[in-house]
Parts: sequence; C-alpha cells; structure tokens
Amino acid sequence: MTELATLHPTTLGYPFLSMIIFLPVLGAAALVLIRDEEASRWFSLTILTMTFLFSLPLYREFDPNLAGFQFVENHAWLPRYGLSYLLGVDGLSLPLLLLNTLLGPITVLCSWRYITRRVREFMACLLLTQGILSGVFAALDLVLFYFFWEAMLIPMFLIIGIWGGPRRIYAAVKFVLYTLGGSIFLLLAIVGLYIKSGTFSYPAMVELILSPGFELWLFLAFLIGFAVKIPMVPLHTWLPAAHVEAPTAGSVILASVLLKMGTYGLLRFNLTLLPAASVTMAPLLIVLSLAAIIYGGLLSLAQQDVKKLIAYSSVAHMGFVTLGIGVINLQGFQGAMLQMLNHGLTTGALFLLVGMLYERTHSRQLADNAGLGRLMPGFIFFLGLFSLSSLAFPGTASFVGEFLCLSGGFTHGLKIGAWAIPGALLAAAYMFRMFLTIAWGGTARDSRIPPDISPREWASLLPLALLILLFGFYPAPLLKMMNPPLEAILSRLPTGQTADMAGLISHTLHGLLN
Amino acid sequence: MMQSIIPELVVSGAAVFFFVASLLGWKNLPTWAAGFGIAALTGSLVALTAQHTFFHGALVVDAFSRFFSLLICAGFLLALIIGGRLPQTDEDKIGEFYFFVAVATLGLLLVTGAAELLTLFIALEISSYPLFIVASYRKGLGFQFEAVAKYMVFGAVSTAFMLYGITYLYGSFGSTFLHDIMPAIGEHLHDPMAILGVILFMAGLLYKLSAFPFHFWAPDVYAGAAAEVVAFIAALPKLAAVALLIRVVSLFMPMEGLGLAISILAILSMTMGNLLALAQTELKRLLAYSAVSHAGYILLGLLAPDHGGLSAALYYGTVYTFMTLAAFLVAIQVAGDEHDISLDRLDGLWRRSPALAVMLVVTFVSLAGLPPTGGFTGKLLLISAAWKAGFFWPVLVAVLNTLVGIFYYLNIIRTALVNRNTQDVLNSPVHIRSLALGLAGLLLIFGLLPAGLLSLAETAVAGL
Repeated sequence: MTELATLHPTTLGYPFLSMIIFLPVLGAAALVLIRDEEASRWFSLTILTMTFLFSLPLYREFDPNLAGFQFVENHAWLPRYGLSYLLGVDGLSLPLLLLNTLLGPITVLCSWRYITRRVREFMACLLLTQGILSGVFAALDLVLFYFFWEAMLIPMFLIIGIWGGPRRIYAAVKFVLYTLGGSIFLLLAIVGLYIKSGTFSYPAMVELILSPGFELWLFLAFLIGFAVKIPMVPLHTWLPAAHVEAPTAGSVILASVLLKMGTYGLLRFNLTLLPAASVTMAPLLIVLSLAAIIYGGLLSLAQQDVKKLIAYSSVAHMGFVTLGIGVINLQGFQGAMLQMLNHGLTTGALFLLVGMLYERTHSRQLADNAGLGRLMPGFIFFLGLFSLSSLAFPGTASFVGEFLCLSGGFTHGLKIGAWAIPGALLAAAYMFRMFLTIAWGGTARDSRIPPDISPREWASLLPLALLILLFGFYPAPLLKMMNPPLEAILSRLPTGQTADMAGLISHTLHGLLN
Repeated sequence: MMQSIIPELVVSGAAVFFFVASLLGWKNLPTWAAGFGIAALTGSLVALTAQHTFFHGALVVDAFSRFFSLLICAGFLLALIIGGRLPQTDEDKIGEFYFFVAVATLGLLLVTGAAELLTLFIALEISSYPLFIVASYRKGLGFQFEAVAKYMVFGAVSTAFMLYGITYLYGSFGSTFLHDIMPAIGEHLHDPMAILGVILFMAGLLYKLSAFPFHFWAPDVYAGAAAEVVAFIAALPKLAAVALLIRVVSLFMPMEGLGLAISILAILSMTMGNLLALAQTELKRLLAYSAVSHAGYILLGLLAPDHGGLSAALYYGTVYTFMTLAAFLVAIQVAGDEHDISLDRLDGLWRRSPALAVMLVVTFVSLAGLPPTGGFTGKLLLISAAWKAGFFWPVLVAVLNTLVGIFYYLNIIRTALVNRNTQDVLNSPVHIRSLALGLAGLLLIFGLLPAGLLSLAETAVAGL
C-alpha cells in the first residue's frame, strides 16, 4: 500500500470532522424553532463561527509530514457492499476544508441586510450548504462523497432560485441540469470502480490495477463530472448565469468553494486512481485549460456587468488551476493547489464587494458605478487589493499560485507557457479596466452619496485581505502541507511520453468493445 | 398454522365486516378501516418469521411472502389513512369502497405466497377485479368510466396473455407447480415454447407494474379515478408484481434471450415514461408516467439474479411504494374537489403547510433518485447489480434517465418552494401532518441507513 492511502488514526479526542459537517446541518434543522428573523441571523452566525473554530484544531494538530489521511473516522455503513462512513483529510483536502469553514461566517455577514425576504429559510439553506461542502472534502468513501456532492444541489438550487435576481429560475435550473448532467457520469465512474474493486472505500482503490481501455473510460467519465463543476470550457456556460442571478452569499459559495470541488476531484480521483490514463489524457486537459484562460479572459474584458466580469474571470483562473494539473509536474500541482485557495479567497472577496456595491447603487453596471473612489475610500481600498490579487500582482497570494502554474507550464513545454502568458496579461487588462472605472472613471456624482463600508462589512473583508497578503509573502506552511500528497501522486504517475492521438483512439475503442 | 396467515385472516375479516356494514349502512367506516389496517400490520409483524405450506405446495408462507405481507399491510394501512374521509368518492359507496379494497388486498397477499401458476393467476384476478369496480366510484362527472374501461380492457388482454403463457409453460414442463418446474429449467434453456411462455407470462406482471408496453392504462386511470383509489392502485399492485417477478420470472433468467428481452423492456419503459412525463401538467398523470419509468428501473434488478439484483429490486420496490404513497398524500391534500390536480395547486406549499412541503421535497428528490434519499440508494444497488451482471447499456440508459427525470421533479419542487402563494392555507389534520413527516423520515432512513431494510430483503430472497 502506498503511503498515499494510509489512514492515520485521529489524535483528537472528538470526531471533529463529523462535528464540522453535522453542526451546520443540525443548525439548519434547529432554525425551524426560531421564529424571529434577526435571531435567525445571529443563530446562523454563531453556528458557523463555532464550526470555523472547530476546524482550527485540525490545522494545529495536522502533521504536514504525512502523506496519508489524518483524523480518520471509520464506521461500518453497509459492509457487504464495501460501504463505510469513512472521513479523513490530507494536505489536499484540509486547506479547502478550512477555506470553506472560514467563508461560513462571512457568507452570513454578507447576507445580513442583503436578504430581507424569508430570512430563516435562507439561513437554513446556507447552513446546509456549508455542512455538505465540508463533507465533500472530508469524505473518503466514494458513495459518501457522491452523497455530499449531490446533496448540495437542492440547497444551492433554492439559494439561486428563491433569493436570486430577475432570471433566477432560469439560472437555477441551468445550474442543476448542468451539474447533474456531469455528475451522472461521476456516478457511472464510481459504480465502474466498484465493479472492478468490490468496495467503495477510496484508500482501498488506490492500488487498483485496471485495464488501460477501462481506465480511459473511467477517466473521461470522472473528467466530465468534474469539468462541469470547475467549469472547463466548453461546459462553463452555467457559471455566468448562476453567478449573475445568485445572491451575494450564493456567488461567494459558488466561486470560492463549489468550483474547487471539481479541481479537487481531478487531483483526488483522476490523477490518483487513474494514473496511466491521466498521463495519456493530460494534453486534453492542457488544451482545454489554455482555451479557458484565453477565452475566459477575452469574455471578461468585454463585460459591462461587474458580476459577470468576475464570473468570467473565474473561468480563466480555474483554467490556470487545470493547467497546473495538466502539466503533471510538482510546480504545476503546487501552483494548482495554491491557485485554488487564492482564487477562493480573492474571487470570494470580489463577489462580496460587488454585493456591497449593489446594495448601495442597485446596479451592477460598470457605468452606473463609476467614480466612487472619492466617496468610498474604504471600499476602493479593498477593491484595489483584491483586484491586484486577482491579476496575480507580486506580493499577493495569487502571484505565487499563478507563477507556479506558469513555471510548471514552461517546464512542460515552452509553447504551453507561451500560450498562457497572454491570459495573465488579459487578467491585468480586465481587472484594471474594472478598477479604474469604479475608482476614478465617469463623471462626478453628487446626487446620492453612498455610505462607505460598515464595520460588519469590514469584518467580512479583513480576514480575507490578511490571508491574501500572508499567503502572498509566506506560502510555505501551505506548501509544506500539500507537498507530501502531491509528491506521492506524482511518483505514481508513469513517466512515459503521452500517447499520440491515434493510439488514444484505438485504446478507447478497445475499451468500448470490451 | 393459523398464526402464519394472520394478515390474510384479518384482511378477510375486514372484507366481511365492510360487506355487512355497507348493507346495514353503518357510519364512521374510515375509523374502522384504519383499525383494521393497524390490526393487519400488527398481524403481519407477528407472522413475519412464520413458515408453512398450504394446499400441497400451491400456497407457501415463507420469509419472502411474509416480507411482502408486511409491506402490503403497511401500504394498505397508509393508503386508508391517506384517503381519510374519501373526499372524492361517492358518499353512498364508502362501505363498498372498503369492502372491495380489502378483497383486493387479500388477493395481493395471496399472490405473494402463490407457488403454483394457476393459484397465482386466480389470486392475481382476485386482486384486479375489485379495483376495476372501485375505480368507478368517483363523485360526479363521469369521466372515470373511460378510465375504468381502459383499465379493464388492458387488464383482460394482459391476463389473457398471461394465461397463454401459463399453458405454454405447462406444455413445456408438464406441471404448474414451481417446485416441479424449478429443477427442470436447466433442460429448457433453449426451448422456444418455454421462453415464449415466460415472456407471455410476464405480460400480466408488466400490466400490474405499468411497465412498457402495458402502461397505456395508467395515465387515464390515475387521472380519472378518485385520488384515494389511485393511491391504492399506484402503490400496492406494484408490490405484488415485484413479488412475482422475483419469485417466478427470475427462475427463468438463464434462458436464452430473456436477459436481452428484459433489458429492452427496461430501457423502453424508463425512457418512454420519463419523456412523456416531461410534458405533463397534471400531478396524477405525471405520477403515472413516472411510475412507468420506475417500473423500468425495477426490471433492471431482474437482470442480475446472481449479483444481488433481486434484493435490490425488492429494496427499490419497497422504497417506491412509500414514495408513491407520500406523493399521493400531498395530492389528496391539495386536490380539493377538482377533477384534475394541476401542478399550480402546489404553488407556495411551503407557506400553506410546511410539513407537507418538507415531505414533498424529500419525496420528489427520492423519486428523482438523488441522495440522501431511498430513491438514490435503491438505484445505486440496482445499477451496480445490473452492471456486475454485464448489462452496461441498460445501466447507462438508467443513469441518463435520471437527468431527464430531474427536469420535471425539480419543477414540482420549484412550484412548492419558490412560487408565490396564491391559495389558502391548508389545514391538514395533525395525524396527516405527522404521517407526512414520518414518511419523509422513512425515505431519508432508507437512503442513509439501508442496512436494516436491505438485510430484510436479502433474507426474504435467500428463502426462495
């Protein structure tokens, strides 16, 4: 057994992972008892803050030198079918889990005044989503993983569908159909792995040997499932619709955590369980990533709606993540992981800012929000900081991630790096265009002066800002945590040259005929 | 010996009671009905482990038949409670309604224990005929007669097929007793007459299951008959069909071409049902087409008798029964006096009755086959069994159908939770609301903790 699949017994006295998952879920159920709207806001804030505090011991006790899973909780679920309630985190999932718990209280804060209708139900959906997303990153049983993966659909559907903008139903249905369209292939892949291995337990599958043809099919099935979530071009069209219509908290969850489920899945399942197929199919990943980087950047440059602009920039940024995964070297992997976190922090914060803007001016159009620099200095400070981070300015966290992705690309092949560079320039172009317009553009506006950001809003933005600067200057703790699993994954990938397309097709056909 | 057939005795007692009651015009029958339902359920729990053989092996009481009697009695009780005071049924016919429903239930109980083909046929007819009559007991209008006509004609045709099938089987095997047929199946694996016999025999079951190509009655009967009758028709006869598919048809599965035939039926049933359901705007019709597609899923289990497919089919059948009853619970509550229950009657259900809305969401998520509900777990068991047995294409179609299904199930969830309230608050009685929450809980338990029901199902199948 490789060290990748080792299960280290928990060093904590309590099942912290289960608590992080189920505390918000129980909180959502308890909201039924609370009638008052203000009380439900405070209650949700308390629950999610507690969840965040519960996740801190994980960071403290986590041993970054181990490649396997830590804080493992293992209970029999349906033993004869190889189903178990198996939770655990490693250096890949822990940062994402912490990102999720950190954003929990922030999503409540940003909905404090934004949501005025059916507050109690909104908070219940928010709490459910939080718990379920933690579950996705902690689950080590494939059925359990799928349970969490799919359970997220309904609360997210409601968040977009009830509290969203004018075209909310269209966006919510599109979101569910796209995601489900991808995840049915995920289900097929999971069942396919079960057929071959006789278990649903992830650690037991790591050593599985599959026939090359079957492996390719599984890879494609997983890839479709994850590509919708990431989203990779050409499956990205649900994202702008969902982002534009979703309320601020929904956008933050979508951008910061939900999209990471896809890239996390790529590393966790495709690269780890299907190493040979991953090397074969890596060119496909790279091509789609470059397409996403450039296409997303160009689309972003053309937007007048600030939220749409950031949504398309997400497509481009996630392109860097998948590029880092596709180049199959350590720098690329590290870059991908860091970029996932940084995109989560940066884009989450940008959506928070857009939400604040919308609460004040009731428009998301660039032209309507021009020239606010003089009126809202605090707001502009944060907007500037997060815009710089989004375009990967040195000193911010994204710089490290994007640089590592690019250097991984250059290591893999000069041409790949060369194709990605315009994407980085585009990021600067669309971010500066937005920032300059909002800060100094347009004519003077005196008629109605929007108030600058409030202490509540400061509280939601400051932690993100600090983390971005911290990771920008000192990403070492994160890298130290990620390196063991990433190195273990890399060491399992065959070093052989990627197959040519003809060989690929014949492989694939061979798998189909069997 | 008597204790092994307590459920049958209780249900027969109920039939006699309601016969007399309808002649004498007694009142307060719904309460009596619930009482008999509870007695039958208790009886089936008492008899759960009983073993006995009646009439020289024509009727057996074993773990399998008792598992089904438990389910049927539970469904019987639930259908009666959900029906409440029978709002859509002619007041004069209430006594007869209960009489016929009790007789049909008795027939279903006998079907699950029948181990001889003619006994089985007669039991199936006992369960069908009372339902033809009950389907016409609708207040006012008169649209229901078209439904009844379709129900009867299709019933007659499919049972005729079934009877042909039985004669062919008798011709091939020289006996109608399953214990004579079973050992001889190996010699008839390529016998065209026996294979044709099995396929014709299945016709009657496909009709009960409302599977393709015997599903045409379902939408009209669902829409035409009173909602409380449809709740019964939609849930219970399906169980009997599942029982027969597992007890009888699965024996013949090694026969040449049968796997192919059933996978084609399953694929067509799933796809047709789902595609037609997409266009429906009436709740009961939608449920009818969704029943067609679920029948297809259940058939998948039959493909893999050696890989746990039978217990998976049993699991899914059980979950499906409770999903259907839950869906009709809502339907009856929102129906009012309308002939059609259009989907917009569910508008703003969350505001009108939170308990019903919660159950509706859980039920339709389960019907769509999404976690964390029983519908997903059942489907997972079914597709992994069928794939293990080498039937990849039906599995692929089943999974793709999930995507089609979500479209219309999601639409219902949306109507109930997202749409603005335009109608009055629903004042459902307390016992209905708690039953709703109980059913929602049950579907979640079937999804999250499948071990209990699955081991019951496995014991039942192992006893065959």
